[in-house]
Amino acid sequence: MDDIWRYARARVPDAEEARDVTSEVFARACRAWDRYDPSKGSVGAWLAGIAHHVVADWWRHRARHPVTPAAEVPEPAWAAPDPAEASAHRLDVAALLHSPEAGLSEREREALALRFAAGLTSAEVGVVLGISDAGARMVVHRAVEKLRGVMRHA
Amino acid sequence: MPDGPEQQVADRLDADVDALLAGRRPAAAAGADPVLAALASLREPPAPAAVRDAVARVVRLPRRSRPWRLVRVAAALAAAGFFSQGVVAVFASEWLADLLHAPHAPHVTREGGLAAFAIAVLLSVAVARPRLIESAMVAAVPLGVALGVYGATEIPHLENPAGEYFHLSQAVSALFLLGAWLAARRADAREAPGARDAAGPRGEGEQR
Repeated sequence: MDDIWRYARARVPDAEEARDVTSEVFARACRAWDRYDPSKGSVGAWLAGIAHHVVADWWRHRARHPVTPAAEVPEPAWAAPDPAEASAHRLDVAALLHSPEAGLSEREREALALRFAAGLTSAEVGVVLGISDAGARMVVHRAVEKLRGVMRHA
Repeated sequence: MPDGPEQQVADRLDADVDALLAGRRPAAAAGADPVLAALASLREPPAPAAVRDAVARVVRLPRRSRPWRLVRVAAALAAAGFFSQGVVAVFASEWLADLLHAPHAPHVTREGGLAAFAIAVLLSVAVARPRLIESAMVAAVPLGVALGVYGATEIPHLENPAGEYFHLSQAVSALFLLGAWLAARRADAREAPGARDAAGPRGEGEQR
């Protein structure tokens, strides 16, 4: 559960939305539990695959129903209302993944969130993204290089 | 096709990330690579209590596993018992009275039979829809046990206690249903995705 929540928190800007995304992941997992095949991967990787789709659905819904300026919360988009999330460093990274300055593609953001926040192996990241192991390593590498460029110029 | 040298760099990075995330390489050492150190911080902190509570509310496994098949069998047996009781009480109350050498009270006997039919229907629906099993058990288990206890006390007083032995079997059936249900619930708690994932993405004993 922790890994799925961390992944959701890295991909969704609001802590409460990330909580809802996390519970939706497990609700879908329960409905699909009979279809889980242990020979195809770990439970964590399977859950991450579901989380990938739930997050994608969340962003599609947000695109169709954008938050109006009057409804925007005054705090920064990636602020953490939960005191347990006191790691400013972690929040900076999550914000950085989505900042225009980083210049990350959607796939690169997703790869980093799956690799680091969810803790998947490159092979598992590749399965979720529908690419090869080598391809997943390359996506992560290029994303990290982009972030290095941003931090060098920061 | 990825470039050869770039792919090699990517592969080395992947090994570094593996070591970092597995704790084989302290995050402090990743200070030489602040980007990796920053990305590794995404592994903190654990999910807050509000998230755990939200997940616990939605985790409900489909009741088609082997423990739940046993619950459905137990419910079917209990349903058969109450159905039999209903059929005899409603359609053969006089014969029953003769069998038991007991006074014939058709009105009361048939009303009791209708109640037994109702319990049988509840249990039958629960066999088809296991999510309704608790609703059926609330009525069937206490009634089955009560019939068995009452029957046991009547045995010494009846010439032919066949009916009381039948009620005892209904109590056994009710307790069997209760036990199967408790076992299935325990199995669900062990097998729920949240519980299995508690050890992390690779689970217990999995190697990378």
